Amino acid sequence: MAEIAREIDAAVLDGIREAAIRVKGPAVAGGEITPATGLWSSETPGASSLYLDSLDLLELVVFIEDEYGWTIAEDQIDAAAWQTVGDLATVLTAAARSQSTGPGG
Amino acid sequence: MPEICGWVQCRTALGDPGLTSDPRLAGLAPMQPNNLLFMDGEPHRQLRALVTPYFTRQRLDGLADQLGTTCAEALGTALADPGADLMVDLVEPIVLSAILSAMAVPAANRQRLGTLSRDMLGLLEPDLAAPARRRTINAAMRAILLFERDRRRGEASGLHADLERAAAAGLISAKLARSTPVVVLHGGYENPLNQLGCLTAYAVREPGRFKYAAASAPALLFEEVLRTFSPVRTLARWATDNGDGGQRRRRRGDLMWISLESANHDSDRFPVAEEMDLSQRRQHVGFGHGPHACLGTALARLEGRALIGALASVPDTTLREFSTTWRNGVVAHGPERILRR
Repeated sequence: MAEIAREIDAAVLDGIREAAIRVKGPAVAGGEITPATGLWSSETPGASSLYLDSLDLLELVVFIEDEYGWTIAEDQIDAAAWQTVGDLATVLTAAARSQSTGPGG
Repeated sequence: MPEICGWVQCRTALGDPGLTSDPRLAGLAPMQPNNLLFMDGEPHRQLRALVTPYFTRQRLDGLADQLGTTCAEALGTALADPGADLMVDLVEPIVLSAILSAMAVPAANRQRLGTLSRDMLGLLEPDLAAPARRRTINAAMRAILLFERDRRRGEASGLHADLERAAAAGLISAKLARSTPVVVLHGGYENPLNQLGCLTAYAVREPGRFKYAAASAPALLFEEVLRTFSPVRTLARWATDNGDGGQRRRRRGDLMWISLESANHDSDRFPVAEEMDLSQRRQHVGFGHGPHACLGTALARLEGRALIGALASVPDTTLREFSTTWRNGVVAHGPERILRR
């Protein structure tokens, strides 16, 4: 069970990485992406970030939805709560787990 | 807070190329915003030209019967309810029916987009408390996601589909194609909600005068309600140059607030500014002025006409049963509730 959970965590992070490269291009999103990587532009010099704007984030969410089938309910979108890749991964992981086990699983 | 006041000064400012809606042109942002309201120049004209065909009088005339029916049904329901709120039970259904139909939003999305429109209320206010700011931004993002999912499924329709086609042809960016339906939806909800709310507030406050005006000059009544109540109070612009800013010197990057309310109440132009004058058609800036003048003017007037006709049929004694509480923002104000006492 723990192994499956780890695989899902890794797959979600890979999915976010692929989507970020698609949305922002390899120059911005091609480096290391970890759960601590910020989603938005940061005023902290040297801080790791994807430099997304709100429209980039939505494009990223829809790309992951199409490519991986992990659908975030529209009313879960919360720009203020999502500050890092880890925040987004948490929501996507929950979606991936519920969609891999199916209803009642 | 408003720094440009008065009829002449405001009208001049709204056409002044030295004052922009686009913070990039004032040196405040690296990129052009993905928002029709915060653009200027040729990109703004080009995007506006794609939206305008959905809001022409000729196109909207086809909605008149539908709005009349919506209005009559909503009014009937509201008047039968001892706890009715005319903002929720009458004004909002008219406004949503109008803007969602004008944009040709598919039926499957209308209920959810109606809820999200309500959650976007106050989006442009500069001083919203953090929870309200979060609510408005999340609602806007959620609405964009609905449109984006439609596009990915090949189900974009109406204005949204036209914008996506324009993006595919390279006329506008993909981001503008996604954001503009929500910008239009928000504007087409909040502005007429306040405008029709003011009209209804006037009807319940002064039913006799309202009905006289509704019978004798309904079109002038709507315009004078917009002038005297001025539901859009201020507009923000940024200085692109150093120069004369109206009442004070301006420097590039300065934020300037233009007071439409002061222009509509300028005593040099309107001798008894607070009083409605139904004897003649008078100009006002309730729909703004210049390159950013309201795109939805014809739709708002159509909604106003339907509402005036419906409210004119309500007995004075019934109208007097309602009282209004107000929501006052920096940018806009309007009735929050019009409740049966």
